Amino acid sequence: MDNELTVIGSELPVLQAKGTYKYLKETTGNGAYYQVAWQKLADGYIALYGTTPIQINVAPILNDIFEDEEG
Amino acid sequence: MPSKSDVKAWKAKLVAQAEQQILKLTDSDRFKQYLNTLAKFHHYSARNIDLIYAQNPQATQVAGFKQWQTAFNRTVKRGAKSIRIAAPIIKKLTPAEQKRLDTTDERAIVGYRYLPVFDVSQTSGEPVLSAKDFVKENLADHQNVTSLYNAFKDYLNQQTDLQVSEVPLATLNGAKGYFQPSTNEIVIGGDEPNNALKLKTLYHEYAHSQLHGLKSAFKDRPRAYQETQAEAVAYVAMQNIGVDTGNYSLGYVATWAKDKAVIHSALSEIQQVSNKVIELSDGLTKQLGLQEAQKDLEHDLKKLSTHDLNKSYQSLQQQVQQTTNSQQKAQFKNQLHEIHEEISNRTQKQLQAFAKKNPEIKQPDSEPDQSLKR
Repeated sequence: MDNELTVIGSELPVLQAKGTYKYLKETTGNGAYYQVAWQKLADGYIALYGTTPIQINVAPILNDIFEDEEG
Repeated sequence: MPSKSDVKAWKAKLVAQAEQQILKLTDSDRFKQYLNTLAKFHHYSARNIDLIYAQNPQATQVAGFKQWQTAFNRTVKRGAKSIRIAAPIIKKLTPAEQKRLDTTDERAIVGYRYLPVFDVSQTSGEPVLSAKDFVKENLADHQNVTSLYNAFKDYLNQQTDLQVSEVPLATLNGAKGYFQPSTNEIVIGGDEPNNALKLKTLYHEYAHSQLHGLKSAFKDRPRAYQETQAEAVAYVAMQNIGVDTGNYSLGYVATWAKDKAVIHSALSEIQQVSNKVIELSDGLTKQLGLQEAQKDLEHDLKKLSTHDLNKSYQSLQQQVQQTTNSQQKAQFKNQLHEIHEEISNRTQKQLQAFAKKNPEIKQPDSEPDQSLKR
C-alpha cells in the first residue's frame, strides 16, 4: 500500500507501531475484526485490524478554510 | 476568498448530495453501480465512497492534480471538474488546547477539507499500467479462477478456524452452498461446473461467516438483509477481480433502503467485509500471478519496458516488506536483485550513449573564465 491518497481518503488514523492491532492474515477467520488504522512503514502503509474503532478527538474547528488546496 | 459561511454551506451541500444518492439505491442497477465504486475504492471511508459515487459513479481511479503529473505522467484535461473527497485535518495540540479539550491526546482533528481529485478518465498521457490489470486479464481465464478458488479455500482451511468442504450439489436441496455458524463450517457444491460461480459462492458464504457468524456483530439481522449483504460482498469481490458472473440477485435492497440509518449501517458492514475479502484475494492473486511471472522472469527481463521494470521492482519491494517467511523473503530478494541489475545496466547504457552524443558536456573546463581576468 503506497498510495497516500487512499490513506487520507480512508480517514483512519496512522500509527507508527502495530501495538495490539492485527494484520489481515491474523483476522481473516474472525468477523468481528475490521480495519481500524494504518501502520506507517518505511515505504508505505499496511492495514491494521481491530474490533473497535480508534477514537481521535475532534477539536472545535479552529480554521477550516482550505479552499484552493491541491491534493 | 469565499466567506466562512459560504464554505460551510458548500460542504453541507456536498455531503447532502452524497446522502441523497445513497437513499436512491432502491433498485438493483443503482445498487450495483454503488458496489462498483465500493470495489474500486474499498479502502476509502464510507463517507468518501459516498462522495465519489455521488459526484462520479463511473470513477475508477482518482488522484490529485499534481499526483497525476508526478506519479503517473498524465495531465488533467482542461476544464475537468474535480471530485471532492473529505480529508481530516489533524493538528498537534498545544498544552493549553489539551487542557481546554480535557484530553491527553497529542493530536486531534480540527476540521475537514475537501480535496479536489480527478478520475483517470479526466486525464490524458501515459497509459496507467498496474500489475493488477495484468493479473485481472489472466483471471478472466477459466483455469485461473479455479486456482484462485482453490487458493482461497486452502487459505481458509489452513490459516483460519473456518472449515471449507465440498459436497455434491444434489445433497444441497437446490442451494449452491451454505454456512453453518455453530460449527464455523462452509460447504460448497463441489460439482458445480461453472468455476466462476463456485468462487462467487465461496465469497458469499465467507461473507456470511464474517457478517453473521457467532463471532460477528451483526448475527441477528433478518434473513433477507443477511442474504443481500452476503451477495453484495460476493459481487464486490468478483468485480474486483474483473470476473462478471452475469446474474446477481441484489433485489432485496428495496426492503431496507428506505431507512437512512439502516442503509448506512448495512453499507458500512458490506464495506468492512468487502475490504477484507478484496485484500485477501488480492494477496492470493498476487501470489498466483507471481508464480506465473517467475517462470518467465529470466528471459523476459530484457524485453520488459522500463516502466514495467520499475513497477515490478516496486511490487517486489513491497513483497519483501510484507513477507514474514524467511525463505520466501530470500527468494523475493533475489528477484529484486536481478531486476535491480537490469535497471542499473540500462541506466548505465543510456548514460554512456548520452555521453557519446554530447561530448562537450564531459569535457572539463580547460579555459578558465575570461571574464574574471579583467
